[in-house]
Amino acid sequence: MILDRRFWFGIDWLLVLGLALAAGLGVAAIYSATQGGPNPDYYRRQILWIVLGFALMLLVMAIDYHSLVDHAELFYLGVAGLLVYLLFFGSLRAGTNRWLELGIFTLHSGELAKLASVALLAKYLAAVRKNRLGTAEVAITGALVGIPVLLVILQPDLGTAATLAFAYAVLCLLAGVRGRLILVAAVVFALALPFGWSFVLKDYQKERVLAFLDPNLDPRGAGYQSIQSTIAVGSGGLTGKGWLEGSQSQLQFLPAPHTDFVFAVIGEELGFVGVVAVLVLYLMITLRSLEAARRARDRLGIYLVAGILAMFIFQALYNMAMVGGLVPIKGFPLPLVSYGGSSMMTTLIGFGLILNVRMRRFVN
Amino acid sequence: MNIYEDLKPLQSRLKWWRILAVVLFVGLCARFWQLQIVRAPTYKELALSNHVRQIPESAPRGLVLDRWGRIIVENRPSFNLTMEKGSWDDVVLSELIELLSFSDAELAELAKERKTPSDHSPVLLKEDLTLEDVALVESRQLELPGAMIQFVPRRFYPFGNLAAHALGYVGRITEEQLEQERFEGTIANDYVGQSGVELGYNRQLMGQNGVQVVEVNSHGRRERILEERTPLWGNSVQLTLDLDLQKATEEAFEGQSGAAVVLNPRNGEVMALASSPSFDPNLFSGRFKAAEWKAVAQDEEHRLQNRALQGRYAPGSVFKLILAAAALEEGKISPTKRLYCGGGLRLYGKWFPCHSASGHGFVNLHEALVQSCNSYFYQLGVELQIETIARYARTFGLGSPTGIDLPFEVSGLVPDPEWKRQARQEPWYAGETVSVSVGQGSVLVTAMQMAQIAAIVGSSGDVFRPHVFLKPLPAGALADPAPTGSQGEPIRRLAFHDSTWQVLQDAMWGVVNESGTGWRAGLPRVGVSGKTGTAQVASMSNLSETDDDDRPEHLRNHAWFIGYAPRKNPELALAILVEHGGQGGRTAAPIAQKIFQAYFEGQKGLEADDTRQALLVRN
Repeated sequence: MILDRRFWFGIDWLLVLGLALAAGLGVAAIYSATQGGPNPDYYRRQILWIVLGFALMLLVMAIDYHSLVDHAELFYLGVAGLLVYLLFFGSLRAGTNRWLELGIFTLHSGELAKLASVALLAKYLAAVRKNRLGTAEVAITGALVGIPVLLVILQPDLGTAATLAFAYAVLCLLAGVRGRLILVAAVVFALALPFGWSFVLKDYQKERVLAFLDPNLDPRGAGYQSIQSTIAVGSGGLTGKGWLEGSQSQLQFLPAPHTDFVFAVIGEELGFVGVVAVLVLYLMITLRSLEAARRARDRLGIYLVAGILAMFIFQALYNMAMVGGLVPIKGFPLPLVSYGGSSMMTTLIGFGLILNVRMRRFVN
Repeated sequence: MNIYEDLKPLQSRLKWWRILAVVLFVGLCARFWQLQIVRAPTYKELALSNHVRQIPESAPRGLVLDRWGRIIVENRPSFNLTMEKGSWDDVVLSELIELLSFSDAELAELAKERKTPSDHSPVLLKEDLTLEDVALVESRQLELPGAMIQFVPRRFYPFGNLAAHALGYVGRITEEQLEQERFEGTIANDYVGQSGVELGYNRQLMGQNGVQVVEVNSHGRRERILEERTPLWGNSVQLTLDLDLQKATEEAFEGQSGAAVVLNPRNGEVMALASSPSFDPNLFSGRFKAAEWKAVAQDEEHRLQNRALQGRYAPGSVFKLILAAAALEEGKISPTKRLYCGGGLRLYGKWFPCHSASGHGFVNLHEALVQSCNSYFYQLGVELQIETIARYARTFGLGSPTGIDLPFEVSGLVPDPEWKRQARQEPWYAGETVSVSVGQGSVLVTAMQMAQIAAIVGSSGDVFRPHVFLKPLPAGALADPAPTGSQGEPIRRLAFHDSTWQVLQDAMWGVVNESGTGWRAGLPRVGVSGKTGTAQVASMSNLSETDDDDRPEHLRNHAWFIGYAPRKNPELALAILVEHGGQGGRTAAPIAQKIFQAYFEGQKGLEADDTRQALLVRN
């Protein structure tokens, strides 16, 4: 552990501030969303997760990322084993067995899979010292990501799978691939769509997609969440109805207002102003992170930052687009803001790595 | 670690990602601009209709009281089961149907109700729930989201059939009615009067609906009341009807169909108004159960028709009073002049029979009226000519509505050559004048008009506008009993010679008290005057061939009796019509007797009895 002055000097305080503000806004929104419900004290637990998350972030920052990824294979294997274990012995929660019961804390296994996969991916890609990936490398990395993706799909947790796939695509494009390969990938993807519709998607997932295409098809069923969420956001107007004053949020019209639809609470109660504030925060976090990637001293650093950031952005954008009624309903949390320990901690661990890369941009 | 890694290509690719990120965030910004700024009004409204419900609270209609201040129409609490259109749930509905055992008629009604175009008011599922059903639904409120128990005041007629035609009934306002001036200020789903006093005085009786604006959560549970306007009772109305007399009148009919109007000849107050057979207006108070509606609508007896105001009948011999008045006033006859009756008269080549086949011999005007001799009046009619007869008939109020303050009164018909030319494009035949002279032919009257004729003769020419409305009362106020009406100011007066009235009144006295045709109406202690009439149903030529009593009922003649009492300064005037009752003296006169008896000799136990006794003594 190197605790010299350069350590503190290298910390991107603006990024840390952005993370803290987003998390703080989340606590306020969760507080508002849970007051009328059965769990009015969730905001306290969220504060605990944030504190724990920042502690973990600090811990991650303290260790050189090179040392951290040194054992990425082991971590990866461990997580893969865990996924297999959960598939057979996991406890069902909300219809999926993605949760690892750890006493008082249940860990979302997908979150671990994301971290492990990205770490291993970054490590492998960094080892390829070319400016363009060959077909073999693409295939190998594809397999590396494919295994956890497949396991996660089986849980079933399409969201995490899609996040991982997105991060993989981003990393490949960043590492450089031939145009022909992109074309092939696009064709495979297009062919996989109908296959996925028939064999991978469960009925409720299909309903969600159909409901997205036309929410009024079944306004009290699958389309309900989408309709209520758009109503909540739209009725917020420019300045919102005021904190704790949103009728959609407070009167239980909004589904999952403290987790997946927390952004709708912000939209309703704080209005367009609140929405733009969150968007600006996320854009700032994104740009600061990209800056960390740009200044990284080696490929490993760039890939680590890019992979972690890709997953963060994917989830954040998807969640906000979902609340805005632009994409089908998918159980994504809004990272940093939604209620949930696993997401909060892995997100902050991820940003710990990003900060880590930036701190260590100078060769020592 | 290799310090010389060439990171340039990667870093340049990062640039593209940065641009992409900015574009995506700006895109999201645009989307939320669209939602929250451009479409905000729409979504604000949607959010509002999501969680704010306007629950209408129907205002109770005003009370209707009789002249003694007794409540004849009121409201009773009733509970309806409704469901918001916004939180409609077929599963919940089927649970409710199972829970409360809907009848087939109710299910049919419900299906119809669901098809009606959408407004914001909740859909009525079941009407007038029992308290058990209310408790059943209330206790399952959480499992039955959207189901709502609504309290509504329901119009209630505690005496059922009694005075049904005068009081009328209420019903949900129809589309056409919404556009009528009469119902200005009403809204869809309001209950308004559909006939009788309920319609005639709808404006006074209607209250002002209230509304409860409540906030509900996603399960339809009410969280709090945002705004409340309590419903206001409608004003009460005190009627001139006397419930006891009304009851006696209806009972006197004993299942015969017909009509009766009982008036105070001093002011036109309607003391009783009956049409038989009657109906129970309570049936209409709700949204009408399909089966019961059918029973009433398809009723061949036309129960809903108010025969007293809408039934048009030939006046029969009652019309002779008008001929007598006309002849005396026009100087066409002297009261002492005798004319011969030989059981009929051959006029214009046709035989016109008198009801006495053997004839009345030589009779004067008084005798002709008392015995109701046709031959006498055939001759009088020929002498007078149809134009004069028609003029006098109109003077007595025939041919136009009396103007009673109840809806749907008809005019009847006073025929004359002018009318015949226009209506039938035919000339007037002299023989028709002969028929009209004894109240047959085309002349048509209502029981209401006939009662007014009795009142006019009894009061020597005072014409009042008959009315059932006594006075308005503020909502919730108690009514003072108004036992007898005071002398009113007539709207017009028939300025005949005193001697003319004297002849008519003496004759009407004679009809009842000098073994005339109306003796069955007689009450020695009261002093009833009257005139009988028989309105032919079958055509005149067939009349003499068979005795009326032997005919099938629907071909039997209608029976009339009009009269008043006491003889001087009468207090009560009436007209009785018994459909297919045969001769007026036989069936209508006894009904009149019972009504006079109930009024003058009835046991009321009310303080007003003393007043009436005093009046009796004076007369």
